[in-house]
Amino acid sequence: MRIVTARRISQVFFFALFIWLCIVTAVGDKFWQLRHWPVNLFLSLDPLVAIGTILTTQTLYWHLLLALATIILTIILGRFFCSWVCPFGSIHHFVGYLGKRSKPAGQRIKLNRYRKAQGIKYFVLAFLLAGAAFPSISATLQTGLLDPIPLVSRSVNLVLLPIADKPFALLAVTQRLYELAGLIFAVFAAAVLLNLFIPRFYCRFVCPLGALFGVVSRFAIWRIGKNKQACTGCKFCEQHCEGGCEPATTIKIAECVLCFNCRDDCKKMDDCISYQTVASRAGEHTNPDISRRGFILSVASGVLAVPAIRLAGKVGKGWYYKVVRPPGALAEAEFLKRCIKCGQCIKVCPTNVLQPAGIEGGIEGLWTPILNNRIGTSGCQYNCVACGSVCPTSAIRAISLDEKMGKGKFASKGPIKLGTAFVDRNRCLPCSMNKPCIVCEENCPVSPKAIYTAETFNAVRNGRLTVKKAVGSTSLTTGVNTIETAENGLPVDKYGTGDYYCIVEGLSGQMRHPEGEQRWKIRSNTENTILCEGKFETVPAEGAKVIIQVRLQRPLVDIERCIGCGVCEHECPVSGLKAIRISAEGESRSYDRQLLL
Amino acid sequence: MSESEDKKIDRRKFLARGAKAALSIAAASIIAKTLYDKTGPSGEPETGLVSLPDFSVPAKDGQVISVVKGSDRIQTVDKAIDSLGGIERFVKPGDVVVIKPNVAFTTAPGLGATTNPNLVAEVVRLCYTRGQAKTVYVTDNPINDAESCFALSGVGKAAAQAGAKVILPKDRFFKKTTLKGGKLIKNWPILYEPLAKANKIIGIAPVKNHSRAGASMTMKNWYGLLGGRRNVFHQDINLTITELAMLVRPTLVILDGTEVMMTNGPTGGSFSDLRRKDTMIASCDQVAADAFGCTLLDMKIDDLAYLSMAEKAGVGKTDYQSLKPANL
Amino acid sequence: MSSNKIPRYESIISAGVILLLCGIAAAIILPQFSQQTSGQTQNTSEPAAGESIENILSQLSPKGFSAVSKAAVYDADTLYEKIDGRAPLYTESGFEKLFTRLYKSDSNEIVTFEIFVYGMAKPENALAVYSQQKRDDAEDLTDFDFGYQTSNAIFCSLGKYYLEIIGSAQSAELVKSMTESAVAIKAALPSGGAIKTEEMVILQKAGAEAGTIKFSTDNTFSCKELTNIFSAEIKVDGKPATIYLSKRTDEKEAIALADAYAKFLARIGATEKKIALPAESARCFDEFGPIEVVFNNGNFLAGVHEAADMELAAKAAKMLNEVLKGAN
Repeated sequence: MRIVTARRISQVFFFALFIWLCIVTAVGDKFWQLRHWPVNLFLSLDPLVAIGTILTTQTLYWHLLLALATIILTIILGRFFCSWVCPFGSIHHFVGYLGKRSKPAGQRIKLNRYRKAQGIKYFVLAFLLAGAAFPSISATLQTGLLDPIPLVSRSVNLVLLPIADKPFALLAVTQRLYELAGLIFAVFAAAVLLNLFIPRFYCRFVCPLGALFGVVSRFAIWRIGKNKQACTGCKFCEQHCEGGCEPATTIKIAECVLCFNCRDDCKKMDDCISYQTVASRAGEHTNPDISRRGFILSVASGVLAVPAIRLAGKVGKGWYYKVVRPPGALAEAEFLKRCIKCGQCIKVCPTNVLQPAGIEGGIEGLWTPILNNRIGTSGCQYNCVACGSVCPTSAIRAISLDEKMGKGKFASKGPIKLGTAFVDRNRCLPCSMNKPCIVCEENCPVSPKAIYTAETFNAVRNGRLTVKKAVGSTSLTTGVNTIETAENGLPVDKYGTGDYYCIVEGLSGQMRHPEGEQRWKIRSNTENTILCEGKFETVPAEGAKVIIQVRLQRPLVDIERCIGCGVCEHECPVSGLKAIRISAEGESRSYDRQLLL
Repeated sequence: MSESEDKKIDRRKFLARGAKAALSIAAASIIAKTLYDKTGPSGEPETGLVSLPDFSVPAKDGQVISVVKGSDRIQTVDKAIDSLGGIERFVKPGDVVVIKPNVAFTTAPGLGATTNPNLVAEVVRLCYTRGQAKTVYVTDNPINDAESCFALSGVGKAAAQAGAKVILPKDRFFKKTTLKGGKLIKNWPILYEPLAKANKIIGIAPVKNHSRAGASMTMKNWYGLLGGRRNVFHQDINLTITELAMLVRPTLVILDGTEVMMTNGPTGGSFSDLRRKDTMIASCDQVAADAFGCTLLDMKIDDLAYLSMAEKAGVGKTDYQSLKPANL
Repeated sequence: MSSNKIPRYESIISAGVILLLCGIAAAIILPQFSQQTSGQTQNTSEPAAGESIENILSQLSPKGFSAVSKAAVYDADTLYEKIDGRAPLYTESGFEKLFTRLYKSDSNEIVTFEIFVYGMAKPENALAVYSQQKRDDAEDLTDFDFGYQTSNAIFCSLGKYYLEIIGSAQSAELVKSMTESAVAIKAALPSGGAIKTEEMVILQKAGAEAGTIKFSTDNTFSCKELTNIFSAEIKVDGKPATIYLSKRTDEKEAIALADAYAKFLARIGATEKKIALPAESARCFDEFGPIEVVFNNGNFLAGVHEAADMELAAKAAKMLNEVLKGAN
């Protein structure tokens, strides 16, 4: 078997594995759900995730130890990851192949020549890591924007799988919705389509992970190179070169992605290229081809960019109330030091309430997880901690249910609050529209409920009527009084729903309702009669005024109990701008956003 | 070059390359092992809480609180401090003193919402001349914009002219503290930086009506040391003031009742809110000072819940008469 | 040199790579079969429940007492070791695990108490073992729905747990500490160990007196067919009666069960009486004085047990039937 065949098998294997692991990032213990699948395998293998978080937190979170293996193998073998493992690389490889396959060999060789612009990716890497490297100034982890593994994870999880699943609804019962999916897709599509112009465009010019491997591969023990000085100079070795590393002349080791196409092509010609432990006979460049000035400039702009972004104040005083983070998320500054925008939490969230953020939490918060209670099938599910359990960097801690609910040994700390529910009384049906509702109270999952109600009786519109004739009942418990009104044109049976009552103006003091109140529940009504329950002690005389009232329960939030799960907001029937909404005040993760003492 | 020569070079190069690779692998492994974190972040706030030392001086019987009548603040404050044993009792040569006036608002000095600038300047002067203090800092974390408050209240200029260093509350000056035995002040940022350098602290506050707390005097004055979103403390203002008094054990407090803000506090804004009471209080006991101060506002001690709460917490005495106030 | 032949070493390396991929695939796929449940899914609360009892016991620190040893755990096979002959009572009622821990007084070594937490499969099981062992002369614990105390012990049913705390001496002080421990355990349990079955709600609506609701798994009222019956004391016109209730899977089963109990009553010599009863299906028996009523309403088997007279039985039955109408 040829080595390139083995490479293709490896690419297909890892690509399929990657897609499978994306699919199984879903709550449940069916074969195609979470179970024990290593859903973070690729993210754990990604040394850029590990190095980025090491810079921001000075620790190597245990999930990411696997990256050490990648680094060690790269030190020994070179950039094997790019052409053998990386699922994003495989996509580029394949699309690039489609783009160049009909072109003549000469043009292919030209396409694959080395370009000075391939140095840009090192600047990207330097810029991103510099922004992460100085916690004393303020550090943020933005490698995930362009790091291929988080990028492809996010794109597959939040865009490609939901589109693919749409006609079948196999993976999700209801269509998964993601805010900003369009932007995620645009980045992905652009990266993929650029292969049609230059093969592996992203890998050659942009990829910061490739750049990192390029730097690390300078010590590689085995390298591609010429095994003899003289060759015919046919340049055939470059017609399928994936890295644009020019094996025909002085090979750029940092650009070589170990596709082995050069060796395969050369074997048919001179057979002078091999994977060897000595330097190429035609000489080699081991260091990335970048200028010192460019490097310093990218580091400096990375270092300065973060404080510049932080001037927006979104991490401090100017924090945005809609940035409600999932349970177990670290305090905002710490969170931004770890979140790589991979979308694993968003994909696994069973209710689809977790969403990739826009820039409402600051530019650095792009595509980080926030809750949008309008989207999805419910708010944050009361007994679910799935998001933290899949987070590869512990930006969302892997909490237990006990910790989330504040039970067992966490009893003294109380439940984890994501925020607090606020009632918008201008929009709430019972508060401003005279309509009974309290869906929010019913759905509050906290026990005892964090939403309670205050009962009031409000006069309905045009509900002050004149008695024409009233007939009292004889029984206190089962009787029905009849009031005939002078007005003709009451909405028929509108008031018979059990929510409407009537009182008699001026006379109510003399009358008794079964429960001791001076108010009678309306059983039914016609255009000019009202039947109400109970018994009049004194039958209202002709000309007396009857007032129809609606019984309302208005929601109130017990902020000491509310955990900010957002189920109330999700269920609120005022579906545009909800009448009860979660705002991040009071979230447990930050001490300076507390609402209560 | 012969072939064997080539091979020799090749071997040497390979060894060098292998050694570099081995070293890099070892370095990567060592870094990974050193930084390895099995547990992940705890989600708890960073540790390193600060705590405030006890700034008070030893008590002297009969020299705990003094009350002086008079309309000239300079004269009354001098006399009030002298009655307690003079500034020399409180400030020793070489001391670093923090003076904490109330500079909460951007109001003019005459309106009584902030500590009188001349009074601050006089105490600064006393610290330097008779107390021979090394440095005197004047600091506050005002409610309105800090720079404007120090400028418009006149306190900044007056203090600086008297030789004090005015410290504006920069973000990095705040450190978190937790009051031992406290319920409310937990993990809360306080204006720690100037206090960390000092070994004495003197609070100087005007007597003011306060809508939420009833009255704002020397104990409430410490609110200006709190940082963060301190307005949540208004949910339980009495316990907050009590805990502030427990947190800060001052060297001396001075309560200015020369012109008292009787209404519309704590901002005031009109001369009609003020009434002349011509009283200056100096005290080692902040509870006693405020207990006396509330009489100037025509209030009873029971009207201010925080007084008896602080007394119960052992901060001081509400029965100022039993302390035999000097000059009263 | 040029050739299309694939070198042998290249094939070997390629085969090695494929083998490695197979190994990776196996390492990923095999664990999916080895374990049934996932540690990562949301359903982590139930498996953790057993540990949480151990946690609760290990964190329990009754005032003045300290634990003698770590919490011990017994399962169905080892239960005999701890409680000898009483084991079948539990093992036949859905017993899962017993957790015990011994505490001794800090002041007096011989004063001890031991906590027994019996983990049962369902709340009904816990209630059954509780009800079977409850003594009539016991004093009810006010803080518990199902709990009583004797001079040296506390017994209660909390969720799916049956809790016993046995003291070494008859002392009010000791019982107080034990009660506090029981309250602490109750508070630490999910939803405070509350039990609320549909039957209990209905019985309470029908006027069940506080603390009289009992649950019996089998052989209720000596009739072996009567399984899973809730009963409660009520007062009708001041006279006591017992009502009982059980929700069955369908109406057919409820009818069959009513019939079986009627047959049982007839077999032991009770005479059937014709009186006006609430439901068509209702039948009344004179059991040599005490009156029995049995009927069904939908899925519910219901009835009155040992009422003093016909009128009382009819009234109680009518009342229960009214509540059931509302429930169905």
